[in-house]
Formats: sequence, C-alpha cells, structure tokens
Amino acid sequence: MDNRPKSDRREQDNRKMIKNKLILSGLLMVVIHLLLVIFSSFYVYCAERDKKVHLDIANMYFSSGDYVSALKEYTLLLDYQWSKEEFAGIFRNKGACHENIKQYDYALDAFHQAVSLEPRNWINQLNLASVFEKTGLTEKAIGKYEEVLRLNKENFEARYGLGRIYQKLGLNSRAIENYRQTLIIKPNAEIYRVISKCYESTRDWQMACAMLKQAISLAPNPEDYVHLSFLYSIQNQYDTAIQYLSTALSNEPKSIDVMLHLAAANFKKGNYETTKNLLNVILDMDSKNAVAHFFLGLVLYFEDNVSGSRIEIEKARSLAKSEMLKEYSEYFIKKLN
Amino acid sequence: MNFRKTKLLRLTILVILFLISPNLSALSKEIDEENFLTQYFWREVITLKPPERPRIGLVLGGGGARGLAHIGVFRVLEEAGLPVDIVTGTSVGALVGALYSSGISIDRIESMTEEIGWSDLTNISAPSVVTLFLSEKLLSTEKMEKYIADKIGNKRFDELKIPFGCVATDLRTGEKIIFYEGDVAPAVRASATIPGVFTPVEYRHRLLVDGGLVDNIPTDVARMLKADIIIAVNISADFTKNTPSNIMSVLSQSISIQGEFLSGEQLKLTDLVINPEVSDVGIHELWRSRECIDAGIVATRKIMPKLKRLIIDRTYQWTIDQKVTAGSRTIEK
Repeated sequence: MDNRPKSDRREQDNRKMIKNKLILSGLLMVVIHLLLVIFSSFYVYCAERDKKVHLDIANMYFSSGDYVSALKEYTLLLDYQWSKEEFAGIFRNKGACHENIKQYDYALDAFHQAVSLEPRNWINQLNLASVFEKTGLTEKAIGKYEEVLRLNKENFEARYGLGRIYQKLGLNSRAIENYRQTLIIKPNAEIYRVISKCYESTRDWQMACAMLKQAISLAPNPEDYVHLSFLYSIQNQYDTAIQYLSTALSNEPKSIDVMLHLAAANFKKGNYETTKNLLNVILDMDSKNAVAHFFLGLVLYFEDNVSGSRIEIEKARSLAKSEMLKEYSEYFIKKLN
Repeated sequence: MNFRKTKLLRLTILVILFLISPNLSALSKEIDEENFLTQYFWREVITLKPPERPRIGLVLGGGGARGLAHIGVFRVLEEAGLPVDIVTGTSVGALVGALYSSGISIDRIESMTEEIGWSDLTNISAPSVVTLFLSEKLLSTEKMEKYIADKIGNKRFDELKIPFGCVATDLRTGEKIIFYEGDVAPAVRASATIPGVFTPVEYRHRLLVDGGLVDNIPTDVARMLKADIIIAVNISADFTKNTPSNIMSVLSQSISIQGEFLSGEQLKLTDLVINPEVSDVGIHELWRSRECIDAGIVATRKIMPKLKRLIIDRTYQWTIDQKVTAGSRTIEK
C-alpha cells in the first residue's frame, strides 16, 4: 500500500512522464539524425556516381570523336566539385573539343584555365602552343613551345612544332636545328623528309639528297626515289638519278609514273634509244598515255624525225586531259608547221 | 514477278560494277599530266642558265618605306628556287635591288632593315628639318652613298653578281638617266634622292634626283638588260587613305601621283605584277618594316603558282623555239 500523500504521488508521475518524453525525444532526434546521415550519404554517393557517369560519358564522346556532345558533358561537369588536377583535366579535354571543331577562341580560354590550375604541367602549355600555331600567332606559339621544352626537355611535339613554324617562316637553318633534335628523341623517316625539304629550300642539294636517303633507309616510299632522282638531276648527276629510278622501277615494275620519270631522265642525258624503249613499254601498257606520246614526239624531233614527231605530238594533243599538255602540244605543232 | 525483276536489276548493276572496277582502279593511277610536265620543266628552270632558258628580270618599284616589301618578295622567290637573272629598280627599289644584286643574303638584308633609320641614310634631324622649312636648306643623302658603298664593298655595276640597273631624273632637263655601269653607290643614291627634301646629286654636270619622277617601275631598263620575262613589284600608295596635311606629305603625295601615272604605262610591259598590300604605309615609315616585309611575302606566295606556270610555259616555248630554230638552220645549210 502506497502511504505517500496524493500530491507526492502526482509529482512523481509527472516526473516519470517528463522523463519518458525526454527519452522519446532523444530517441526521435537520434533516428532523425541517423536518417539524415543515411540520406546525405546516399545523396553524396548518388552525386559522385552521377559525376563519374557524366565524366565517363563525356570521355566516351570525346574518344569517339563526337566533340559537340562531349563539350556539353564537360560543361555540365564544371558544376561539380573536383580537385585542382581533375578540373584541369576537364578544361584540357574541353579545350581539345573546341580545338577539334575549330572553335579556337574557346579552346584558348579552356586551355588558359587549365594552365592557371596547373602551370607546371607541360601538356597545358603544349595545348596552348598548338592553338596559337593553328591561328597563326606564331610568336606566341614559339614562346609556348619553348616553355614546354623548359618543363620537359625531351618533348618531341614541342621540338617538331618549333621546326614546323621556323620552316614555314623560311628560317630553314633554325628549322633544321629543331628537327635534328627530334631525331635524337624519336628518329623516323618523316623527319628526315622534312629536313630534306628544308635543305632543298636553301638549295643545298647534297644535304637534301643525304636526308632523303636516310628517310628511304628507314621507310622506303616510291615517291622518295622519284624525288631523289629529281634532286640528283638538278645537280646534273643523271646517272645517279637513273640509278634511283631504276631501283624504284624494280620495286614497282608496273608504275607508269616511275617509267615516265626514268624516260625523262634518260632523255635529259641524251639516251634517246633507252628513252624510246621505255616510252614504247608505257604505250604498250597504256596506248592512250598522252604524256608518253608527247615525250616520244620530242625525242623523235631531237633525232630529226620531224614527221614521226608530228604524229606523236598530234596524238598527245588529241589524248591530252589537261589544258597544259594540250597547249604545249599545239605550240609544238605550230612550230613544226 | 516484280521481285524477280528487281533482283535481276540489282545483279546486273553488281556485275557492271565488278567489270568496270578494275578500270576504275586503273583510272585512279592515271598520270597527273600537269604535275609531271610542271616538275620536268621546273627542273629545267632551276638547272639551266641563260641562254638555255629565258632570262628572268625583277623590276622593283619606288615608294620609300613601302619598298621594304621587296625583301619579302626576294625571300619567297629564293624559297621557291626561282632564279633572278636581272634586277632593276627606282628609289628604294634601287637600294634593295643593289644590295641583293651585290650578293648580300636576304637574311642579312632583312636584319639591316631592323637596324636602319633615316639618320643612317640622311642627315635628317629635328634641327635640320627646321632649317629645311625656315631657310630652305635641303637635307643630304651623302650618308646613303657611304652606307651603300660600305655594305656592298664599293662595287661597280660590272662587279655585281646579278646584272643591275637603276633610274634617276635629271632635274635640269627632265631626262631619265639609266645607270647600268660605273660605281653603284652614287647611282643608287641619285635614284633615291627625293626632290624638294634632299639636295640633288651632282653627277657629270647633271643634277640628279629620284627616278620616280620619270619612271617608277623601270621595265624598259630590264628589257634593255636583256630580260625575257619581266616580273614587277608594284608598291604604289592608295591616295584615298592619305590626307596630306603638311609640306612634306603634300610634296610626297604629289610625287607619288606623278609616279603612279607613269607606272601604269610601264606595268603594261610586264609579264606579271606582284602587288604587296602596303598602300597605307607612308614613305617615311621605316618603323613599319616588318609589316612591309610580311606583305611582300604574302603577295608573292599568293601569286607563286601563277608565276611558276608563267616561267615554265616560257621555258618550254624557249626550248622548242631554240631547237626548232637550230633545226631550221641545219636544214638551210
């Protein structure tokens, strides 16, 4: 039996009620807190996944060459939280998309952003150099390529870029210097070919030949042989020119182009019989070859066979596809008449 | 029935395509006639020397600082391997032409323009200009003569690597004076002496000033020196862009207008004209050298295919003419 006064019992009951209420509130707060934590974690998880999904999509578009769609995705990605490096990477790709669709101003903006985030990353400087070069800002391009080389001495693209710019500006010795440096990094036939072209521009035929021969030794190309023979012809070294053309012909026995060049080289050397034989072989393969008829006409004229010459030149005129050959044939016929 | 007809038609088309495809592939390997002929005859141009091929003459017009465009022209011609056999010029054309004809490399000439100023060529200065206006004491181009003599080594015309000629005006008689022998430096100085600003050059009892008064584009001098193909570089001003506002600019524009009128007739005698975009450059604006050189480069590169074709065509005709003429002589004998 509870002998306490009524008021005491009531007070105790109230205290119990308050205590229960507090416990309940506390429990409720914990539950709400837990729910909030779970919800926000889930939200973050979804957002991260969303971010990664967008990035994957953007990169997929980029790799497949759909730069317009890639651009849309990369632009959306800028609203997310990223680290500095990640942001720089997004700006790089965004810039590359703009560059590929020739929006060079936007490309420059994006690449500048990448540079501001990662100034010591040579890739960012290289990207800027590339766009400067494409937009004709050669001095700025040269500056950026040199910056790349300061950050990465052995950078092939920067050296090659400098060579390309100097060659375009006609500063062939500087172009050659830079191209030669690329050979140390990554020798290939194409570099030897461009060096050869530089030497040609300076009329250093010997070096032009030497470089082209190096290109041939690495990756022979029929056009190289023809061009090499041209370079030797300029130096009046027709025997060597004929030798290279003969090599080209042995590699491609049915090449009418090489045979014509060989015939022309023999013609220049005064080997009229050999020239005629070659031209007749060409005409056996292709009786409608107007250039062969034209040269045969020239050879016959040089041998004082005027009537034979006239017949061949007239055939050349009737078969000629180009205005130039028609005009040349007509001029010759007029002179013969 | 319709289905069978359609199937038959498709099969026929396939067979036809199969039959012509080898021919198509053969077509794709056709010789490029123009490319072949161009390459062949361009080699002739590069390897032969006159008289085995036509002589190529370059005529350089006058125009003060605009004439730095001639340097760009030479650069592109050299790049292309185009030989220049004769050079003629008036005023700045004579200056650039003389330097090039003496054998100075184009790189060197270009670097000279970066160093050069009016004070290297004349006695121009603030006090001397004031004296010009107040007491009408003309300035002198004596420094120009020393500069040229120093750069080319006191050469005579017959000692130059490339035959060269330039033009001046006799102020007393109005005659065109053609220089193609004797000392180069005084001849070029005379050709580039602007009347009314610089003291005329005394030469063999003549008072000589800028050749632009009588012949700003001396194509006839190129012909006289036996050029067969004449390429002119025209660096005329666009008068609509200038509003002369002082004695110098009015005088300069007046001389230019006269030069323009005479140039029109001379240009008709050329085979090809190169027109660098320098019309808004003033004759005194030597600080715009880079711009002028680039304009020369751009204009020459643009016209290079046409120029090459012209020279190839003329070389071909020359070869045939020579051969046919030689053949006729043999027959006559």
